[in-house]
Amino acid sequence: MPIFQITLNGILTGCIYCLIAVSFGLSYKTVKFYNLAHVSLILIGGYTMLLFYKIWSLPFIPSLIISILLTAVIAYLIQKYIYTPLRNRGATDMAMLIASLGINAIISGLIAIIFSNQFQSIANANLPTIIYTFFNLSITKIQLFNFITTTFVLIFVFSINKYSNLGRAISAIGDNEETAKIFGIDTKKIIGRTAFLSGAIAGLSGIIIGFDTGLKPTFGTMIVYKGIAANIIGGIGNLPLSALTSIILGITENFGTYILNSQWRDLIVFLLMIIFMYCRSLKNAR
Amino acid sequence: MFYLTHILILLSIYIILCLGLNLLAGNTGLMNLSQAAFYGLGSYLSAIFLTNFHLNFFIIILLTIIIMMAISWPIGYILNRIKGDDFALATLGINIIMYELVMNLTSITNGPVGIVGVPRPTIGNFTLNNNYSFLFLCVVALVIIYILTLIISRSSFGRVLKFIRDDEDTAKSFGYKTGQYKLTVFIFNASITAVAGTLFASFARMIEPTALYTSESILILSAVILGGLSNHIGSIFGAVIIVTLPEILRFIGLPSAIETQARQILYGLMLVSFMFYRPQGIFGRYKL
Amino acid sequence: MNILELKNITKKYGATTALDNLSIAFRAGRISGVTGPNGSGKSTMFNIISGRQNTDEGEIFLNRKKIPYLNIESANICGIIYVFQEPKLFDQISVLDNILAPKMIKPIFAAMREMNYDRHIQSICPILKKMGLWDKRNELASNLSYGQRKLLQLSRAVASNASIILLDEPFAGLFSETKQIIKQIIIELKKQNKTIILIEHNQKILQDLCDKIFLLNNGHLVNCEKPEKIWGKLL
Repeated sequence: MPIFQITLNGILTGCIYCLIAVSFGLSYKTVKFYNLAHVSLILIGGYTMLLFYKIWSLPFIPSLIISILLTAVIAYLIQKYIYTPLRNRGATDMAMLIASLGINAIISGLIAIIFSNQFQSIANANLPTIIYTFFNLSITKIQLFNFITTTFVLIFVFSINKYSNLGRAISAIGDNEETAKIFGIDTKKIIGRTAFLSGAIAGLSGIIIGFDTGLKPTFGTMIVYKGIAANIIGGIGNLPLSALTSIILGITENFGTYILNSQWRDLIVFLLMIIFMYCRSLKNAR
Repeated sequence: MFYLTHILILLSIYIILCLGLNLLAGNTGLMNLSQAAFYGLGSYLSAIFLTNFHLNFFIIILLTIIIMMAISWPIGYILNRIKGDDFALATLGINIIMYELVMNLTSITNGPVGIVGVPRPTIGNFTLNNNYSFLFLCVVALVIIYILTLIISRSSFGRVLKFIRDDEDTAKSFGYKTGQYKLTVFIFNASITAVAGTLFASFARMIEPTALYTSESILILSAVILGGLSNHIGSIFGAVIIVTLPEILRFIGLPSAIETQARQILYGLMLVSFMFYRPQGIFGRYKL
Repeated sequence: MNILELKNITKKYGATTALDNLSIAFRAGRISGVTGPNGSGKSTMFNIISGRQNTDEGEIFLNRKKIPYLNIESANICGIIYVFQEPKLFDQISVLDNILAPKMIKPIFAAMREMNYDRHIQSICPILKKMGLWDKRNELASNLSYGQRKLLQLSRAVASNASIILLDEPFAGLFSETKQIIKQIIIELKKQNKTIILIEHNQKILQDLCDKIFLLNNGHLVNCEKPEKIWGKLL
């Protein structure tokens, strides 16, 4: 039955979107603008993993941890030295978005200079891909890894969001930053920590993309835009819903490509995004 | 000299694009991240017309404009309701959709190969094979569009666009049908990109899907922002920056392998520093 | 004659009820003062009259005719204009362009051809001069002081020729001279037979200006009387 296999593939595609959507949503909740520099954070995660694991052949776990931490630190630094000062200067959301586009251009340009503009995969091409099969469903090793890590990350993020002080502070800032400040929340610190957390998740998703489909300084953007689209469809900043929509989006995309043709998958996603934006504006209009 | 005319032709095409986008982004506050898609689509349409029909060049421009208007009408209608940051993201989505369409409708667009062998425009019996005569054509188009955009932004229509940018609800409360205004300016911009696209397709004699990259759209928007939103001189200056910067980099002696990346990094640095120190751009009055 | 009448209007925000079965009628050519404690639904009422919010229940009558659907555009057609407490201006354009807003041609293709504003500027000039904004006409609206912004918003409303003017605390946070200017303008507007609805907390201003005072509380209309009477009843 191809239906189950397609659904499974859809869920697995959705998992990557899910990670991106969650990290993007976390960042949106605190800074409240479309931080398109997320695209480059994901590239940083993927390419540092490429450097450590494939080029320098470090062991898997240390290089994984180092690249995630590195991405998180860079996300934190961008937040601290660019976004926060910009906000303090009274930049509008649009100005922030433009600045994040600029940051994205800088980082992806640097990556293209260092790692060349070619398509690269972290996975070793000489080794055969390991495929597990059960109940007639096949899944590759990296996909399994993807699925498990996404589940863990989701559980981790949702439990932080729900039960920890950080999560409460984040949702307070998400409601209203000024009020949160009045209630004694150190907003700068919380925003910095959230940037760190969302950077770490972005780095992880970059690594998975690097193993699964491969990296290219300009190519990765498409997957990231899709993750962002999933977040927007799910309601920006609403993490559980955007996680769910990412999975649904992945499934729709895979069914769409099964019914139509594989070339239309990007088109389907963005068409959906625009339709959802339109519907939401209809709802918001008085 | 040949080199210089080449640059000047490209420059005038980019100025046309920036002037059009300035109406949208600068005057109306709609940050359109799909300018390259419309431009590329216009190029494709005119390339198809030029290679298949042997019509007068002006009729082909007119035909392209009309079709681009027809395409942009429903898109603008949908985008009308989407505001602010969402608009930027939605247009980014539209750019991707158009790119995919051009890539995948291979029977019409030849897919990744693009359309090659587009003939140079023929006016009467005279074919503009010469770059000088082509430059003349471009400058004429540029002057016409410059005057048109100037009239539009100085007229009541342009003022209403600025009202919409600053506070759409208040503009509505004075009885302006802001949706129609936004739609009109969107369609007008699309027809300007059609002119630029026709010029480009017949100048380069080919068109590839790479023209529709989102990075190209971002580049054009950043040119308008750097030059100064809501200011015509600013848009021209922004276009000058994005066209001459790669040439300057090449002149300095940067290896061609990293030229595009170096350019990209420079634009990024400029964007970030402008957002810090001069959010209204070089000549602009409108602070982002 | 009642120019504007709200009947059994109810508006809820989630669990809280902003307006609870409110019925209120304003007479043409009068200055009606609306007062009441914070959160009594005054601003919600203005938002509904100006078409910025919809009602959950109830009907609105204009000149005894029922308005089926009121939004910002149709409120403009009905001749209603809202002057906000925190001025809403077109910030990044000049004072003159701001005040041209109600004057210019509305249809798109006619608007594209309109380049000459001398006629409009002549009609606007006296208002701006009275407000003391004429010398600042070429400055950006965002560079004005708070009081000047309020004056500009009011003069825009005057220039708009609307027949019903909603004023939300026009005197709040202003210097006494500026208050005098606004008072005079309101009196003049009354002479031009405009209907003015005024939210105000200051007793003296209400007593000086208003023909009738409406007291709101918890989304109800508690009392409506002539100003001489209402204070006696309250105390």
